[in-house]
Amino acid sequence: MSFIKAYKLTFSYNGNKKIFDEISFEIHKNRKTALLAPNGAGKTTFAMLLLGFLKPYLGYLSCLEMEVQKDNIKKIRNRTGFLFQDPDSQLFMPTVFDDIALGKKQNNDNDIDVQKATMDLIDYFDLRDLKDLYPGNLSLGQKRIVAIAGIINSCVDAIILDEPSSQLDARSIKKQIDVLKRIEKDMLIISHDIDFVKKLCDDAVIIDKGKLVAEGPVKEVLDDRDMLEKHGLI
Amino acid sequence: MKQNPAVSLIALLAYIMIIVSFPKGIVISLIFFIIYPAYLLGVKKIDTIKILKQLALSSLFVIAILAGEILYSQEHVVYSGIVTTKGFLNAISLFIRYLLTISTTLIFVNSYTILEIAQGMRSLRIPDKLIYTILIQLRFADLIKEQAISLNMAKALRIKKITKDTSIAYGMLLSLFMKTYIKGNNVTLAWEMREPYRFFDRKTEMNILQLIISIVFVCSFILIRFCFLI
Repeated sequence: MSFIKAYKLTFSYNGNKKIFDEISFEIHKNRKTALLAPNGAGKTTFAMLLLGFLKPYLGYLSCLEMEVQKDNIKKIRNRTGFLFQDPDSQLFMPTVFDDIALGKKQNNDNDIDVQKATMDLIDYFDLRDLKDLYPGNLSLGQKRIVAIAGIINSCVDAIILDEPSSQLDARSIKKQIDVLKRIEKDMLIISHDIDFVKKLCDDAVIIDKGKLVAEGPVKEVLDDRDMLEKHGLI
Repeated sequence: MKQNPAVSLIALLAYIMIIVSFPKGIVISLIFFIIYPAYLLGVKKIDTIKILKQLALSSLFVIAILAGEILYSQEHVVYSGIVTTKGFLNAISLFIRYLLTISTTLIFVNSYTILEIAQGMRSLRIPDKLIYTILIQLRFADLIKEQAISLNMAKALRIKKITKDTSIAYGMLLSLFMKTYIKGNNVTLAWEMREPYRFFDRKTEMNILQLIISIVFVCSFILIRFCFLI
């Protein structure tokens, strides 16, 4: 069973230089997989393709066993959570509590259930002190954790995280890893932070200049320091 | 060689003033003025489809506004031997004016970069403060667009069914405003740090032939405006 499958995937913006050139790889279910690539190599573009925000592409691309095409995009989005690199983009409710509750409200009309599920998550992620604050006033690390809690409350099957460790200090990164480790869902972590990936992920896929460079268990892939250096990852 | 943006700016302003100065209900004379945008599209290497798309999008709003003019002014008139209503004639006249002025402006905006337009305004002795304000406003427009796209993507991912909860809409608007404001402040600071005036102080080449053509166009439009009012 695959979470994400790409076969001979080719994509370019307006027919210009190819971002992906017949790239093929598979990301398995129930694993935390990192998509590693240097800046500008198409990490976020891949996520946008997967969620149907960019089109068209050539080849085959599927998410949660559904081919990414017009008829399936809504279903894919309903079952996949996405953490934006800039979490401000996705936090738009007046309080942290309301923002985390939003996803649950979409799936459950019973207010008591929504309140309970949201409070459970708030406790689970240790956000009780922040629950009545405006999300815009939180630190970047706190915003990311609130956004992750909101995604989990949406009852999604898989989560895609775009550079979750960027611009965070060591303490916030540690907190982020603790939070993400506790989540048992299919997870794609888009990053170029090798240390973060080593501590969190099971598998890794490396792409550069439109081509697949390596794929496999994190320990095997990230042990090849020459390859990482060659592709600008260390 | 690219035409000096100042020449194009003068021609554009003259063209718009002449078009706008036509009295209500004039149609045939206005049609002559299509020559200028058609000439510009032919001479400048611009994506015509892009211009037409931008024009079509804004046309929807204009058509909605002109529908009122047609409905509320039902008095019958004879125009060039055709019996019609005053409202319909006025609406057609206004719509042609809109098409001519907006298409020419879009061609101008798509022909030059923002900095070239700023250079053009500077050679026309428009005060630096005003040019700087316009540039910052344009950057703000881009910021709003960027933020709106991100919010729209987040909405597509987070809002899975139609809801009556108005706090979502208010929250999104507040977020759009706050983020644009914060980023806009940073952009303004960065601009100040980089001394923006020196960017639009460069001289651009003056193409005499195109200048003459623009003057000929403007003169012939003035001639049509005052001699053939049909």
